[in-house]
Amino acid sequence: MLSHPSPTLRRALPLLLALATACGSGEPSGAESGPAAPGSDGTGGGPATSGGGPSADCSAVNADVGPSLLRRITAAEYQLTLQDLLQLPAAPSLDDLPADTEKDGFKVFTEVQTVSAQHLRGYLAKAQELGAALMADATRRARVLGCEPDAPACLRDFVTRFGRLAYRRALSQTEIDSLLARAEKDALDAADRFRFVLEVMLTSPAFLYRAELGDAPEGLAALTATELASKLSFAIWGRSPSAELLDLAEQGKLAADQDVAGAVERLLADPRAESFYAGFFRQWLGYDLLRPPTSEVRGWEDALLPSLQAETDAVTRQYAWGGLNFLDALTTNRTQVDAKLATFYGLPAPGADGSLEIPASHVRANTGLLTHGSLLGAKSDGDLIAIRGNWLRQTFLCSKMQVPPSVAEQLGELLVGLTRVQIVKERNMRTECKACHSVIDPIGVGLAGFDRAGRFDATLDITEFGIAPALPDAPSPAFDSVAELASKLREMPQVSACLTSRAFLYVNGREPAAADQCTVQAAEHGFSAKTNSFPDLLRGLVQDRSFRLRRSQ
Amino acid sequence: MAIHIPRRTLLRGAGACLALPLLEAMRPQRALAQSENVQRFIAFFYPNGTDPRKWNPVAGALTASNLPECLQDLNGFAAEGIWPATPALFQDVTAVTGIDHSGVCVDIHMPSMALSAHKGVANNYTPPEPTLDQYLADQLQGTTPYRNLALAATDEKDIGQGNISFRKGGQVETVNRSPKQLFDTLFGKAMPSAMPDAEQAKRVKRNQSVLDAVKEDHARLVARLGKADQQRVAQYLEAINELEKQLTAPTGGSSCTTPAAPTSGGNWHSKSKQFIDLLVLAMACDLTRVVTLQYSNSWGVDYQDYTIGSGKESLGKWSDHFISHKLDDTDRATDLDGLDRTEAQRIADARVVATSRFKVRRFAYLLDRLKSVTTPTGTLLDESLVMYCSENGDGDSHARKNMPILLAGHAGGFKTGRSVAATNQNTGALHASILTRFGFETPSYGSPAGKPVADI
Repeated sequence: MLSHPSPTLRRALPLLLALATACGSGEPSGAESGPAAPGSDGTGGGPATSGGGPSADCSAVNADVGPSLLRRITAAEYQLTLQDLLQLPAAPSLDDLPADTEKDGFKVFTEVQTVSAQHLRGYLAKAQELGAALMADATRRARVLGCEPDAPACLRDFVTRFGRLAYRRALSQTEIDSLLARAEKDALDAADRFRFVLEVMLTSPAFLYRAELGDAPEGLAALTATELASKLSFAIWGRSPSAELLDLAEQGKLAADQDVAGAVERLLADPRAESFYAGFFRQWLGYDLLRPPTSEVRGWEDALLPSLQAETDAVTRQYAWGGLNFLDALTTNRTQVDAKLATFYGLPAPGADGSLEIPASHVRANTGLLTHGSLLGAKSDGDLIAIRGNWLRQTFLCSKMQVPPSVAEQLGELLVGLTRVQIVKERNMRTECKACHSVIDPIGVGLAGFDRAGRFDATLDITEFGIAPALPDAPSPAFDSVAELASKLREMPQVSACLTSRAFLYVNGREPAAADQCTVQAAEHGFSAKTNSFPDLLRGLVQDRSFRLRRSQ
Repeated sequence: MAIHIPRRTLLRGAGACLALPLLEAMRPQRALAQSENVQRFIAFFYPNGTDPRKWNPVAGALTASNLPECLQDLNGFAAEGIWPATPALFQDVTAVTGIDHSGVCVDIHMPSMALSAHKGVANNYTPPEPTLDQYLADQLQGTTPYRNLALAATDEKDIGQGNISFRKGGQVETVNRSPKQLFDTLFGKAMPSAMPDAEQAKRVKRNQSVLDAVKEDHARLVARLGKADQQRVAQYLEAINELEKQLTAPTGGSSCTTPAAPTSGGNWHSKSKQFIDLLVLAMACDLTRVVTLQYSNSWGVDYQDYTIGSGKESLGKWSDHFISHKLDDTDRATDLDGLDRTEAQRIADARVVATSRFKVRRFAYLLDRLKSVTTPTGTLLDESLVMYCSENGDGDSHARKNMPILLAGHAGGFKTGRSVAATNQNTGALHASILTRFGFETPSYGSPAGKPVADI
């Protein structure tokens, strides 16, 4: 259970950890692994040193890449791609499409994304709806079709041109002829031929699966130029490549390193990059889905939920895309709140643009993201001490824990009669429990002054647990304030490694494997050796030679 | 509430709307063979276990007077909120006590493992083999359009929390989380009623051609793929084939009526009720024979819409999860903290009985609806095996032993009105028994493996 950082699952963690006081003896106290150490299979016993892992020899000339499965476009990618393809003013709704399955709070894991009859219904219904709307809108139709529907060869031109954008490659003559023949034979009338083509293309596996296959079906393969264009566009914009990018690829202008770098710069400079990565920050930090606190909190109203999300959206956006040092988001003294949220936090009113310099005396001063209510409050159900400690290590240090089944099996047997404080104390003394709890509970205790909604409550007594606030992974663990915790965290190299690993996941739809270690290390180095610029991190991931490779599973 | 429309009208309507929306192709009407041995399976999942001491009946016949506290509403109950009064149903239910799920589900609060008899993989939350419903789906589908339906009243999309049905290879089943969407799928949106047959035929042909075209694209793609990717995109072809069947399979059912479209929104309770009503209609129309319904994930559901218990025993705003933890967990109803220990324990126990009774009443509602639908050979309940299940046994301790299992209905000649002691027999044994009921030769099943429980 400890390996799942999604907001809801995080709420389950405390149970397990709290109950771990009842662990039997003679068992490993816990298993821990971290994606910060690519290649780890997560089955090692006991707390591992985070951020480490065996160092690979990355000086070898041959780049490598971990195995991957064919990716189905995610619901978000589908939505953004439709907006571009059909030149819609806004992204279309996804009402009829099943939501993507989530894992570890991320919606991007290839392995859990499927295609079912219900998906196909949704895709078909959406294609029918959008096709009908397109044909009824003369202006947009002219732009998307590029010709009048009744003009000679208009259908063939459309199939050729639109098909290239939808399938992210030029269609073969056979594909074009076969689709045209069907449309002419089976569509109801001339206009329906275009709708027919749209239905086929927007439901086709050539559209739904990202066939970035390279030159060999098995083993290691080099991507073609158009496949690289596609992969770059999805990685940075979360959508299909533009006609211009495909043109470059087909013209041989997306092969040399500087050509790729130029294309990457253009992608990064477009607002679509920023908008796609808003999803990354929500999934990484775990605030995409917030729920009201389960117990009463003074001053709470549900209308605060969007305000809380907006605060973290704004701060991550600013530090990722505003030319700033991204890690400063962990310690910044500035935030972006509306008046309602400022009041809830007990802060002075923000400026007209929402920006606010936090007074030095305030508990939130210099705590950056760590005291955002969206992050503290997402964990609204359960034992906050264990949850928050585990969440912080999992999110920023990529340290996962898993209670061994044999220990989990005994949970609950010895609990009766223990108070909450006794449980926390007990689990930090018992051999089989403290290996894990002693690295998470001191963090959680340090944040225990914040209630379930993320509001600081000066009446909460954090000394009753008898555990001193500390970040046990840090060289000098003890801290007296959240600002100090933030500062210690900010200085840990594991944070950059972890962020890189999470960005790798968002880009690739899978966690880094052993073969990706050099890629991740290089990207992390490019990030931390310079100015911790978030775009640099993405540059490192997508400009690495391994990005142009594919290894089938 | 249900608008009764002659079956022919329903089917004609469904057949007449090929252009928009989607592919509601003409489904030829099938006269349901009177002799056809129709069998159905429904799994009803409600999280957070129970208090086994107050749930498990002693082995032997169930009677109105020997029902344990948690099951007493199987003797009938009054209406509450959106739920109608329901008569006694204990004679249609057999309790199976003492099932040990801990070898299969090595983690706490794992709805994804609730219908699995095989130990989880990938962080313990993915069934490596098809879940029970999936195992049965191929066998029971017959000529019905929908191989199975997976319904969940929770918006939770996490793989471990928001899913209970998995296909082979750990492929998570697509879950329908919206009653309105399910209604649209099963019964169609507003449809043009009068369309000449020739026009209909053209539309059927057109839409079939769209599907044929994407199948050609699929074949072209497969030709370029390695083995692992070929296996992955096999699910696309499977999906197309299932969709075709949905759109063309004949439907029948002597009690088929179409309901009013449900409203969207609502909480777990109202969504679950809409799902129950729709799944019963889907069964009545013989659109499917296998359904799973997840009432909630582990955390969310509460009883704020209901007045249950009074004074200190009132459930108030506390979530089912918190109530299940009684006194000693950090996830507990803290309003009992200051009380005398004995009194606090009494109240915490009473609250778990109250939530367990609520859960059983919702299960009973499903059974009663199934029983109300007559079929050529009896009622839907006679054709069905309906299983109540949870992710934990004792909600307080998270133990996956002593699972709250109820089996209802009479599929395969299942005998009800009993309590069967299956003490410390594992989930594999339970599933082996159920599979045997459905005609599978299953001397042993699951991992860890179990042999069929005697008397099931």
